[in-house]
Amino acid sequence: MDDFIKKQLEDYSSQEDGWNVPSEKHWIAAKEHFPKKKKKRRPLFLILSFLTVAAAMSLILWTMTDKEHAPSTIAETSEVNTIPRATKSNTSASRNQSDQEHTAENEIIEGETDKNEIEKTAVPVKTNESKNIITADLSKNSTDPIERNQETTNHSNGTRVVVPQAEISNSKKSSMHDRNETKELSASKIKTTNALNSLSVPKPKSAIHLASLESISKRYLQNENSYEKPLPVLSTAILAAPTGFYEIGLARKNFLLNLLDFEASLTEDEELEQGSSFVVDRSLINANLVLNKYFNRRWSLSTGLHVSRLKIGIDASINTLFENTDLDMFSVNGPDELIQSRNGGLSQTGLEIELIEGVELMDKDVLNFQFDIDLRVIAFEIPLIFNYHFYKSNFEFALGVGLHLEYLLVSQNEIEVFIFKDSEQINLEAIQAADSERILDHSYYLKFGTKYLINENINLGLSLNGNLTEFIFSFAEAGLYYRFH
Amino acid sequence: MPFGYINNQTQEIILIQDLDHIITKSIEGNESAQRSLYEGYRVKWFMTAMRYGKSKEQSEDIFQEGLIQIFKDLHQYNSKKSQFGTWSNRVIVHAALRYLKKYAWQNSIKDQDESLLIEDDQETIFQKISAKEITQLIQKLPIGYRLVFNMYVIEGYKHNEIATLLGIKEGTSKSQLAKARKTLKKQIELQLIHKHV
Repeated sequence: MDDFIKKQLEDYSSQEDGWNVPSEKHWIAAKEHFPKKKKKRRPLFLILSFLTVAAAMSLILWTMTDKEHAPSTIAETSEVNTIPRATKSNTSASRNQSDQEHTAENEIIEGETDKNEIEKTAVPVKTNESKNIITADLSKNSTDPIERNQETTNHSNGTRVVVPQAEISNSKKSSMHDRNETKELSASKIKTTNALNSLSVPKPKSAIHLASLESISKRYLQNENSYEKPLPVLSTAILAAPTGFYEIGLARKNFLLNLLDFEASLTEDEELEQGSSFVVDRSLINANLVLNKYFNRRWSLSTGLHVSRLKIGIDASINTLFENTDLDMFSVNGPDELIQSRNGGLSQTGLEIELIEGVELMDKDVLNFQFDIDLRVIAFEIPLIFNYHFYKSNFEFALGVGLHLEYLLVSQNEIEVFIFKDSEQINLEAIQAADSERILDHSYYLKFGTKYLINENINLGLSLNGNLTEFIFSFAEAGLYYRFH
Repeated sequence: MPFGYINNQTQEIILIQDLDHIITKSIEGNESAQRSLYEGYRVKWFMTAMRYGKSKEQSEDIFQEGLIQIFKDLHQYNSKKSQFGTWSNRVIVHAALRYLKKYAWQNSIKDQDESLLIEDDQETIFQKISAKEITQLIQKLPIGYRLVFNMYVIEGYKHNEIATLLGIKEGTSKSQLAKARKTLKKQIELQLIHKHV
């Protein structure tokens, strides 16, 4: 009878009435649970990281370069206004030592100078911002620093502006700076001839004395009449609140788990054998209330309240080599920390694993552990991030560092563990009870953010926040912000 | 074993000669390969599931769980140790055991009388009954009988293996098998009488 039945049941051809053919719906339903193809996201993450860092460095360098080459930005005019008109001394640090004896009297001299002093050869140099033409000339008399002077020529009307540069100690110099022969360039003249954009400064040997030009430009920007260019939004925002302001915003964050190849990080455990797999499902609900206090245009403090609910479902199949030392695992109490929270509090209830009677494990047997974990984290975070800001056009950039104070409600489902050897289950029912805990914790963060200033009150922001404590919880945040000036 | 499948989009019959190749591709997540593997073995797997379930619904649940398990564990399959058909069928059997555990079958087996053993029969009348009818009769067996009969007669497990997997004594396994045979024989006879009538 056995043989007959076996023979009858070993005919695996599809029958006409289809009784032994499964419905297509089973394939469709089962397919959803097949291990997903691993995606190689690491290169993408590295490329994005590199681009982000490169962009940040470029912006910093760009901003610094602009500041050096174009000192007369609108932002600095507010500082210029505080300089007493009577002083009129050159405050630039880049000027050479001879400037220390330089007085208001010999700053700008118009007209012919002593023929022994200067013969000019113009060498135009363009700056980034204002396209000024800076003329250097010392080719003929550079051997005598005492007689060296800086000369600025207004090309538009032929007026020559001489800025004494070298140490002045001989008699020739005093005649050169005779008040009768000097005439201070008026603001109106600068304005009518667009002098700021066409000033020429002789170049002593190697250095271009931009500082001299800076000094000039600052002084003439005191005159409101020369203030013709419309201010960009950014500048008005800053000028409107020189002493700091508050900002409030609503933002949403998304963890960079995909980019960080979360699944791959799980399987990279060296103790896991080949073939281990983790299928991860995640969902995140989040809203961030953001409060920023700008102390000045460079420094600010970010705080607020972040509320998030993160669900992580892990369908795990772990292959591991059994070693005799692991025998303890199958005694009364199993592995205590199937899941371990950051402070080790979760899953302390233990898990009983008993082998089916008669099963014997040998050293180096490959065991396959299978279990599903549903982990839920509700997080309340208070960020405290100090930011340094720099600006370009209507964009504001920020580099920040600080910490998040976290209150976490963590819970995990009931976990049933199956252990297989050669595809045969070897353990009796093993269930770890559901568990939950509350955690007070903190994480350190590094932040790079940018904001687009729509107007002086409203702006859009995007930031990358690297979690230095648990890098896997790094996130990107996008939000809409409002400033109170 | 050469087998193939029909590509639904092109209606092209794709023959695949190398089972190892298709398994490798299936592990990598290639859907065509997975489908091909399914097409090649679905009847075998489904018939196995049918024998373990008490009803069509139970059998379909077992089949689906087994199917998922096969593709999850595919990386564990070693072609040097066993044939794929044997290995995958065992996965279906284990899925069935896991499924049936929910119905506390262990107690129902342990309580059975261990003393009854009967000799095997070789009756020619059985040849008049189809695979479908046999499957239906097996489904009607009490769970303990059904498990032991399937595992011993069809899957080829030994009594000590069955005892280990089901958590029962070896003698219990033997007695369950004997009772299963006796019951099944009776049922088949009744079926044949019913046919003649």
